[in-house]
Amino acid sequence: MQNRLLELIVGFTRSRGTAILIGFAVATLLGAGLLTRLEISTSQKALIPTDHPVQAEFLAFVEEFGAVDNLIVVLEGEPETIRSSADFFAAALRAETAWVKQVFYRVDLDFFAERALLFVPTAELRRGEEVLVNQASLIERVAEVRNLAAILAAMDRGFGEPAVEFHPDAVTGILRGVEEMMREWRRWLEDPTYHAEDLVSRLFATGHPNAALVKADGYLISRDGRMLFLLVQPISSSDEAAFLRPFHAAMRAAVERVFADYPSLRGQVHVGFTGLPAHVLTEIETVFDDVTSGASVAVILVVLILFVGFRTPRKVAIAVIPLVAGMVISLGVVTLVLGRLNLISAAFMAVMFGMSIDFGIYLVRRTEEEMGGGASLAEAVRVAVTRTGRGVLTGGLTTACAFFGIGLSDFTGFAELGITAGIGTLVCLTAVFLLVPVLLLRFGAEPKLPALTVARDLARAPSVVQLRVALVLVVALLAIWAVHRGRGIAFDYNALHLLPRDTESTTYQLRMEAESDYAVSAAMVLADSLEEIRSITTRLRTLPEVLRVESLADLVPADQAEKLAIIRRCRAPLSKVEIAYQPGDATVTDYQAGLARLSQRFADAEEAAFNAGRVELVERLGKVQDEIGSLELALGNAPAALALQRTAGFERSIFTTARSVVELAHRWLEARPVTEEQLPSELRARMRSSQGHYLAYVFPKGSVWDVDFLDRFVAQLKEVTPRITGFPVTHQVYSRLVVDGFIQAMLYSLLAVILLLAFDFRRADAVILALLPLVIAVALLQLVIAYGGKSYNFANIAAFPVLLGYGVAYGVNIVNRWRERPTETAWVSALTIGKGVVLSAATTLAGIGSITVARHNGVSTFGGFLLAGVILCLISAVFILPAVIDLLYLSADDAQEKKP
Amino acid sequence: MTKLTVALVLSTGAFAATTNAAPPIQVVIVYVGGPDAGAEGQKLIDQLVAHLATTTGEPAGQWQGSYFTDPAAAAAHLAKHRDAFVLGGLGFFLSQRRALGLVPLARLATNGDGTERYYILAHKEAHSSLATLKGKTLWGSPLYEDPRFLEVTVFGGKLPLAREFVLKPTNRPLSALRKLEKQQGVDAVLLNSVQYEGLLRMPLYDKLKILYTSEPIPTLGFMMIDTPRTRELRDKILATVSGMCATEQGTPVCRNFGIQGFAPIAAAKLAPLITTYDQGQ
Repeated sequence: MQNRLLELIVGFTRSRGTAILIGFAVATLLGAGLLTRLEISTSQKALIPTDHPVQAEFLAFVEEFGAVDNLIVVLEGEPETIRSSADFFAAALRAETAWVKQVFYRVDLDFFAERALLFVPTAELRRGEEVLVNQASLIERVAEVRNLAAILAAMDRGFGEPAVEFHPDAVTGILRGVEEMMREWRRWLEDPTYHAEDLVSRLFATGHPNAALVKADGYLISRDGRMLFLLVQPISSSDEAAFLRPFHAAMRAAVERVFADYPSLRGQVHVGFTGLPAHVLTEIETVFDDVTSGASVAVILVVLILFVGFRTPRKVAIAVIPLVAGMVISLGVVTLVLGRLNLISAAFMAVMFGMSIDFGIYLVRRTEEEMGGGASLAEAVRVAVTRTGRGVLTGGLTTACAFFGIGLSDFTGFAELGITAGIGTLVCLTAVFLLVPVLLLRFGAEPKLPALTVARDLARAPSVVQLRVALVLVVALLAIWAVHRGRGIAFDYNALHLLPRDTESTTYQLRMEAESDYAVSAAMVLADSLEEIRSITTRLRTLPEVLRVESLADLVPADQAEKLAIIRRCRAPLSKVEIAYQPGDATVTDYQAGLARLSQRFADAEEAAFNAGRVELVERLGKVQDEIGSLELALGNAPAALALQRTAGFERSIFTTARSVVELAHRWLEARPVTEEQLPSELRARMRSSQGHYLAYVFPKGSVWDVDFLDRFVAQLKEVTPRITGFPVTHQVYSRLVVDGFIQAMLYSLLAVILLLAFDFRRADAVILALLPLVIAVALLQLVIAYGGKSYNFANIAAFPVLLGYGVAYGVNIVNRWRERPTETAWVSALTIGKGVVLSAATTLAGIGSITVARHNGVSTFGGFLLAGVILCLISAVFILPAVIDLLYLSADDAQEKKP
Repeated sequence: MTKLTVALVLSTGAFAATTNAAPPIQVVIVYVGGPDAGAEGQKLIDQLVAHLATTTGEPAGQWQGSYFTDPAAAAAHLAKHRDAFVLGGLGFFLSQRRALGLVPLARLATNGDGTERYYILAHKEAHSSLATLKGKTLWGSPLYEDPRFLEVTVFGGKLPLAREFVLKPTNRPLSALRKLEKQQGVDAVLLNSVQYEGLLRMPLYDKLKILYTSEPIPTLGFMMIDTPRTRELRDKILATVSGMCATEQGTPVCRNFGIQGFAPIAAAKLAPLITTYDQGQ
């Protein structure tokens, strides 16, 4: 059937050459026209089937709450400078209403500070009340403490005669406070110009989960205060470049406007973008830069190689024109069928040019060979199409089938790649079979001496015969070793590793995670009522993989009626608290003695904590002692008069602070209930939808790009509630779909190939032989990957289905060529098509090689794996497969070969 | 020590059944080598006794709590006040069993496997085996324990401590470990399980090396002197002690001090240890 089809093609190209040329010209123009409508979809979300429950839930969530993944604009510089400029940047970003829904960068602390007592857990309030009501002596003692020396003495007494039993958590807090106090005193001594600023906030914030927030006056900052984060919520949750590019451009322009309005900020404030939108755009741009430059390099290299191989522009044109036409038409067909290219299929188009050129090369080379043997141009073209064409056709159809097999995968990304590549292969194959003969017949070819004689002599050489036995043995052993070694290759689920390490978004994400209490992305938990979200928030906070939870539960305190009653009862005893400052007359020696006594007390407590196995307390007590040690040193080093003068300054600041605290406490006693409606609107909007659903942001402890971590994180959240969504959840599903899709793609593709080969060869042994180079190559590729120190990732596993599609063609070609000349050994078959193979291999490798230097680790390793795989396929097809065939079918009876 | 203090105080509520006429039942904590209880410890005891008295409805004055770090002083006190329940270790039990007529009641169920081990640690760069430590100083709070208990029960007769080392008992093991790390006059330190588990989580451990680990022995936390009054109260006391970690007030305290509860211990389980100890093998 194949022969009849090929004969038909020959006849058709002879009789209808002009019509074919016109037809392809029109089709190419139509394809080019359709190309303008082809969408390049860069959306990762678009790769997940929309009917997947997790995806559907996420889309519904976005519909209700809007985009949840913020662009994070990082301001970096001196703490004071970035804080004072944050309002300018926020205003400029907010002004971009076409792109920005809201900008969140600061919490209004005054609102919460006035109502602080309502945010204290009821049990702690009760304990506080107990202390105030039952420990009147403690309050009296406070009034007696009138200077620094008295504070030290009171602390010492506190150890000897403890009046209050503190909760273990409170002990840690008190120790942090003591440490901070000693540090502050030391600062006064070491820096003669130092003056305390807002010690109240620092003391209150010490050790608190939101310490950074309080210290930064409500701004979202890094721990060292040198980075400030503005969370920009886009109007759309789209992860398409078509949205992200102009959105980022608008954000950059807004930043530039601030610099233009306040030129002094330039050089003092560095602005960087991170967060999911920044990552996705970085990835898209990196991939497209890589693919565009790769494709350009590939085309140039392929044409150059063809020039070297064919030596005339005419023959280069004969090989290239059908391919260009085929690619344009196939993209047109893809536009009609799918309407878009996705990230994976777009990347693949770069290598397709270098691979599909093979079809034409084989036909041109065979024509030249036949003419070298004395055949006329017409006869040579006929032989080329009907003989070499048979292998090329089978190989091409097999490749197309393999790709269409991938198209059955559930993972949209792979399915679209399969369909796109299948269409491309079929169309290019058709273009080559119809156009190359026409062009050859019109423009002619030069005769070349057939390589058959040389090849035959070489193949019969005794050394070659011995060599093939050794070769087969070595390869068999290597393949076994490779399969064993391949089992140890890890799958790197961390998508962040695919991006170049030095990109702005990656750098700032890593720094944000390492240097602040914030993470770039959070899971979202939904609830129907405030009470439900409160209960969920409490449970989420106990999970080991959860870093932080934000919800209205923290902003609208629970048990307000009970708390207000406790607060009312505390008014009377607290009104007796009196802070009286009376400068003391202690000497440096007195202070040193007091500190030494305290240090000994802490050392005793540390020993007791160690004996009780309380390591965290041991560490905390150790830090306090270290701080006291440093303070003693600072006291001793400073001249006595200066030490006393500076200590007096510190003493004043301490009592000023204490008075502020008492004043604040009195204000707290007047607290009114907090309602949702009183909260700042931007804060409320982040956590409650207009439809009345409540939201908790759950920040993970680990990286959301690490799927192993995500598995644990999401599983823990699901134990609390099934209503979770957000990037961590969709990314986890996406990651698993990729791997599942890969397995499906490989299975379907392999099945399609086997069916086609079985239909073509109609013998099991021929099918096995044709597949052998691919099997060997895939096995040996494991060895290359393992010893190359590489791991699998989301991008590079796509190389395997592609390799399956292309790699199988080499084996098919060799088996076909061998069956064409049954009296020759398979070595001869391999060697006779050697030059064509070398040429086509060179173009293929140029196509793939162009992307191995990509900056995107996914693209480069995809190219690397494919390159190594194709080289191994070629070597296996040209050297190992013939050796196996000859061993099986020639050695047993050299005179009377069997053939499949 | 703190664990024992808390356990003791919580357990005192169960003694509420005694009459005012009888001398108070003693609840004695023997924390060999532990830190002084101090005012804080005494306050804690008083608070919890008062609390338990309230919850059981029995007068707190029926109970008297005492704390000892010196086993000899504890034994002397118990010899005079025989209606006593004791929170103490296996060493104290074995050494005073005959003299005081002690009966084991429960073991401490901690976060570990219910056994106790002892460890000898030295500086990584100074000593690689016990052989090089011969004649050097060995510090640690367990060295306050009965010497026969250490040599026979803990080290199974394989390591005659008094002959091998210059023994330096201390109730400041952390300080000894720090000196060991800095190689300031301490050659080795002997730790119990709680101390050792804590050390593992501290950076201090990085420079140290374990040279010897004893075989596990059962923990013992609660015992009594066998008298008619203690026999009468035994079950009630045990029930109270066993359930204290499940009470609202007891749960945070137990969690804080790493106690999961008290588990009854069969006297037969201790029989081989008693025999070995008594025979001095």
